[in-house]
Amino acid sequence: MLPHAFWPLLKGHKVNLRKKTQNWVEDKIITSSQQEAILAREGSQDLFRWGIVLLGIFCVGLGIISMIAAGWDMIPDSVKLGGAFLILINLLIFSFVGLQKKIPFLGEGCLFGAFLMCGATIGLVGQIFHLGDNLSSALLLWAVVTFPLVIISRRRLIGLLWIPIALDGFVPAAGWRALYELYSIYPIGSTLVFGSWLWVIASLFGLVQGTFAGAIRKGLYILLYANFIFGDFLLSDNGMDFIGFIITVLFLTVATIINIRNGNTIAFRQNLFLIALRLVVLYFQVFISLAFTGVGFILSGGVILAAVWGWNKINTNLSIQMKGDKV
Amino acid sequence: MNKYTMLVALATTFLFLFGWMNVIAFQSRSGPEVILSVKGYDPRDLLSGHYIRYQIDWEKSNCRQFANSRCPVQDFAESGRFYIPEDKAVALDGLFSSSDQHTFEIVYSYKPGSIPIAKKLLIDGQEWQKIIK
Repeated sequence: MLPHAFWPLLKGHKVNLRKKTQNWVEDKIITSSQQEAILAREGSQDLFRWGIVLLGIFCVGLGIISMIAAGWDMIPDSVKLGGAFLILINLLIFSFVGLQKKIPFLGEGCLFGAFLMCGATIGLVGQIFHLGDNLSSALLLWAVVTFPLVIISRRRLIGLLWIPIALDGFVPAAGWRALYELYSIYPIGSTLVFGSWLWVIASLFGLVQGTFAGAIRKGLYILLYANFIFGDFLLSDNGMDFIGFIITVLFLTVATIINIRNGNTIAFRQNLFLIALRLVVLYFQVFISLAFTGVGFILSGGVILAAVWGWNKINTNLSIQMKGDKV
Repeated sequence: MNKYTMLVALATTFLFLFGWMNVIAFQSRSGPEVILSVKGYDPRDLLSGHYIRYQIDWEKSNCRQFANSRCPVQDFAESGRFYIPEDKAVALDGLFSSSDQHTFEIVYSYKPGSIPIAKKLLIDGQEWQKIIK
C-alpha cells in the first residue's frame, strides 16, 4: 500500500486539494482567488515532486541492479535476458493499464520505469554479447526505442531525460569534447555565450516572461548554476571528485536556505532535486565495487524517498493544524 | 490518446528491442568464427561488472582465415570490450599487464557485411575460465 504521504502524487490528491481549499473558501479562511493561487502553485510543483520521487525510485532500482550485477556470473545469460524482457513487458502492460484507467502514479511511474528498463536492457544485451564500447550508438538506440514512450507520456520528465540521451546519440563525441575544451579555456565567456543562446531559444518558445529586470535576474541565476556545474566537471576531470561534490552541494544548500527564507517553495524543491541528483552522480564517480555501490544506491534512494515522505507529512500536518485552529 | 495508438506505441518499443536482441543473438550463433590477437587494459564499469577493453593486434593476427588472405580491418572497431566477472578482474588484469608472457585472442563471429560479435576470450589458446579459476 502506498504511504499516505505519497498521496499527493495521485490524481486524487488534486481533487482532495480542490475540495479542501473549497471548504476553506466556504469557511472564509481564504478567498477564491487565493484558492486558485494555491491550486496553481501545487500544480507547478508537481514536476519536481515527481522528479525527486522518481529519482529515489531510480536509485533503489539501480542499487538492486548493481547488487544483482555483483553476483552476475552465477546467473545464466538466458535467465538474465528473459528476466529483463519480462520486467520490461510488465512495466509496459502496467503503464498501459494505469494510463487507460487514469491512474497517473501507476501509468506514468511504469512508463518511466520502462524508459529506464530499455536503457538497462540495451546495456545488458551489450554485456552478454560483448558489443564494444560505442556509447553513442547505445544512447542512439535507447533514444529511438523509447521515442514512442516520450510521445505517450503526459509528464515532461521523460522528455527532459530523453533530449540529452538523443543529443548524445546524434552529436559525435568530438562535438562534446570541443565544447568542453572551449569552456576550460574561456569559462566565463563561453558560459555567457551559451547562456545567451539558451535565453534566445527560451524566448522563441515563449518560456521567458515577466519584466526585463526579472529576466536579467533569472539569467544571472542560470549563469551562476551553469558555472558551478561546469566547475564541478572540471574538478572531477582532475580527480577532485569530492571537492567538486562538496562545493556544489554547499552552493545548492545555501541557495535552498535562501529559498526557504524567501518562501520560494518551487526553487526550494528544484534545489533539493539537484542535491539528490548530485548525490547519485557522486556514486558513479567514486565507484568502489558493485556490491558497495548497490548498497549505497539503495540507501540513498531510501533517504530521498523518506525525505519526500517526511516533507509531505509535515505539509499534511500543517494543513490539519490550520483547519483545527479554525474550528 | 486513442487506446489502440497507445497499444501500438508500447508494443513498438518492446518489439524493436526484442527484435534487436534476437538479431544480435542470431549473428553471434550463426556466423563463422575467426580468431584475432588482442592487447588491452582494464578500466571500470559500473553496471556490468568489469570488462577488458582491448585493441586488435592486426600484426599478430592470422589474416589467412579471411577471404583473399586479407584482414578486413575496416569491419572491426578500433577497440572492443569483453565482460568478465568482477572477482576475476584483478587476476585477469594482472595477466594483461604481463601480456608479453601470454597470448590473448578474441574469438569473433564474423560474416562479411555484418558487425563482428566477440564470443570468447582465449589466453594462450585456452578459454580464459580455464586459466583463471
